[in-house]
Amino acid sequence: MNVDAILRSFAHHQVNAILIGGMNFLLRHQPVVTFDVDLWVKDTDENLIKVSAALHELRAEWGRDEQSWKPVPDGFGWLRRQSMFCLTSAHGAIDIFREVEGLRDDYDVYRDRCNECYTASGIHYASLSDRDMLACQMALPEEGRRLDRVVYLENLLKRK
Amino acid sequence: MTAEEKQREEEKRDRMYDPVLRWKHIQEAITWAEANMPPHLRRNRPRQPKQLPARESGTQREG
Repeated sequence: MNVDAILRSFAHHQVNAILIGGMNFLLRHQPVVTFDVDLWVKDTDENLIKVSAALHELRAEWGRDEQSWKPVPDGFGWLRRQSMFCLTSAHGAIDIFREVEGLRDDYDVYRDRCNECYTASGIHYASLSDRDMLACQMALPEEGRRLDRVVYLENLLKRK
Repeated sequence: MTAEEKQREEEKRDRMYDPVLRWKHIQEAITWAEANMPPHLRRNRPRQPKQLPARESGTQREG
């Protein structure tokens, strides 16, 4: 998976997006097993046009079912069909979220709390804050929570 | 979006992911993660045995 290529494409198209999930935790804190890039995108028409352009560039594929699985269509209407998408791409698996469980306020509230970060090769990304990463975990059913991340983040936030 | 909907999306992708490409992506992800982790967490970080007591660094043998 070429994570840099994925983040670079989203940055190139000026997508308003926040890196969440395992990759965000890995980059900020500890090594965890994760093989997709989770991005929460601002849910506006203007931004979804950019999301679609970035996904085109990455040769992403998606379908409502196996029969309709194909390169992502032109335009952004398809991104309105559901609130999250698991896609494949030439550079790796990408999850796109229009809404995130546990984060119920306006997107901009969380975007303002993000850390502005760079990968080792200098690609910029917005990283969901530790406090909001923990909120995401706690919103999951108990059996679905990543206990190692919860404990780590709770201890980290206690020390702050 | 419920946890079940997310799981269904993931399972659908898993079925559509070309296994060869997927394996390539997994290998690349491991290499990329290694390069992007903080230095103290990297597996292949340079060793600094002079900073460790001889017994810990395994340079001193008994007998």
